[in-house]
Amino acid sequence: MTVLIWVFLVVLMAGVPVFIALALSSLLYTHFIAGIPDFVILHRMAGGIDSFPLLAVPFFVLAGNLMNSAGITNRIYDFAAATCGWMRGGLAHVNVMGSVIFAGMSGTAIADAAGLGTVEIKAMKDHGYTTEFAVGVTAASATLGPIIPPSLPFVIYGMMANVSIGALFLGGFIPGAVMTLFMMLYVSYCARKYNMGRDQAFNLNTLITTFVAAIPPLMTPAIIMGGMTLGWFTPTEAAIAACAWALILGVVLYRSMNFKKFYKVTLDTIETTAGVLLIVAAASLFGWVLTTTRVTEMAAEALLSYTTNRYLILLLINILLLIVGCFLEPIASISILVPVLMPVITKVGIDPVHFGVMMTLNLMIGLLHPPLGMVLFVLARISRLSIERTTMAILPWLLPLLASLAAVTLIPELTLWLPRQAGLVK
Amino acid sequence: MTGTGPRPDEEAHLIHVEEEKVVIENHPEDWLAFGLFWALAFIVFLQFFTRYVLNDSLSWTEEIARYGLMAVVFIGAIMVTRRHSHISVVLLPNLLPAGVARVLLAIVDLVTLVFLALLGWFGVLIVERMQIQRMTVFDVSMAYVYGVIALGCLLMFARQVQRVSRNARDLWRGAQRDLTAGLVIDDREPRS
Repeated sequence: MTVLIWVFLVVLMAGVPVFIALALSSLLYTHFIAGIPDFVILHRMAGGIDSFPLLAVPFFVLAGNLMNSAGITNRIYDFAAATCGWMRGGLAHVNVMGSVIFAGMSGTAIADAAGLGTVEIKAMKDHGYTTEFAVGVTAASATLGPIIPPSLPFVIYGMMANVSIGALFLGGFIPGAVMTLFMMLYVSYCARKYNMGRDQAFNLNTLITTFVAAIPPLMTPAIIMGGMTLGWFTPTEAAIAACAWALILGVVLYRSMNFKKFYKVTLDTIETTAGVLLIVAAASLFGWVLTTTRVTEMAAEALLSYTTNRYLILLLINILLLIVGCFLEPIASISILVPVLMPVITKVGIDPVHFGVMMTLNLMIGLLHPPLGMVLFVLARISRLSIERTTMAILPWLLPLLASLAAVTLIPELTLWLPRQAGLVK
Repeated sequence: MTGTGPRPDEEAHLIHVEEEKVVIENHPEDWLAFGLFWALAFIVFLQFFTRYVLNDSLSWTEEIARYGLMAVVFIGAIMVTRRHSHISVVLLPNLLPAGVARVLLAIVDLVTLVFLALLGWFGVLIVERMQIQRMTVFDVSMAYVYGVIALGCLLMFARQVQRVSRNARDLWRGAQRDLTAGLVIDDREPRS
């Protein structure tokens, strides 16, 4: 079995697509060790995505893509600018605020960083901020995407760990607010330290008009969150409702949608969905191999024989995840690691909803890390900074993010209070 | 490092986004995926609608929607293979010297090629064995569902054959350049 895991790691690190690395090592097991017919691996993969809750994935992606049009984005930025532009370091606050709102529409961090990052960095440079500061705040605030619902990593985690996706969505809410608070505090600190000015004056009228103009787009996160909190919608239904609303905005209200755009948005959605779910499919095959060969059980026993102190275990798992997170895409990490870590978590009595939020936040931080954080590379390309300078620009922002991670890890109530109020967690 | 203070002329738009230009490529697998995706969206919407508005959800929608998702994933995977956007770890090809990186990229492409061929073959084997299996809600053979999956795997293989033959022509030089395109390697201004 050890051989299989080594094969997996070598093939993965060489750069073979993740789903192939997973399926290939599973094939070695079925062929050479178990003596099961080879085609079983494809059957198992297909079975891995034969799940109704997973239907939330394409529709949350679609809702986010449909909302990503200039008309909608500009309304949100105007509103965010009216809310925060008057503070010192105004545009940096606007950047964080914008990410908070967009996080309520899209489920991924990399998409947020790539699409909005370009615009945000350019605007900040135009207003006299250094590229480094602009890149740092853009990178850091992109991590909010999957913590504030909707969130693809939460959907996948919920499926893998057999946890209510609705509870995870609600659970991400307060941690998202904590992260926002820490990041804004850090912006204020930088604004004082480097003596940054305000970018526009406060004006109540502007605030009201921009808010009214932003109401239709803001309805999307409201439908998703409200519908799920009140128990009207399952996640899949919330996603469908959000898509329907986004289509009404694009086709009827703003008329920004035409067939070409519609076709492109659909294809981008399919690309993300297929890329992510192939990994989920292969990971469920791989998870099955790990379970039948009792590798997960042995890993749990090994860790638990070392310590049963839950804080120490959380610390060790956090370190492991921070390392994994800088190499591997978050959803891939979740699909691969949840089956391995779940037995340990339940044995020491950590709530799986709490663990899911902590794990996702941790893996999001991994996206910023050198050597391989994907957001880091995306932003280096956009901003035309070298990898080294991008790294240095992002490094100080790990402070508010790691502080949020510590808070979320040590205070389970931050995550669990809201789902408990809604009756989704005991 | 300062913000420059209020600028009354730009007050309304601190940040402004321009509409992107959309370019469409035509590929048969994309249109197939497009059709499957909206068929799936329609079925899921139907389930939602019958449950909330008619208070009686159609029983077949859930199962068919699950098969639809499988179809969208495996047919969509053809496009992912063509666009070369499968999620993978791109650490080593970035760190290694260009020559070694090219060898590694070639190996990765070939491993992918062989595995996709195997997957396509497994797909065909499954379809043969699924002839007798029926769906739960309709009296239709599961061979159709697995047929779509097999088609996806076979066409992924076909797209990978294209990629390998294209890359083999310049011995993976282009592929290696694509990896680092747009990245500023040293600290000087980019020459663009």
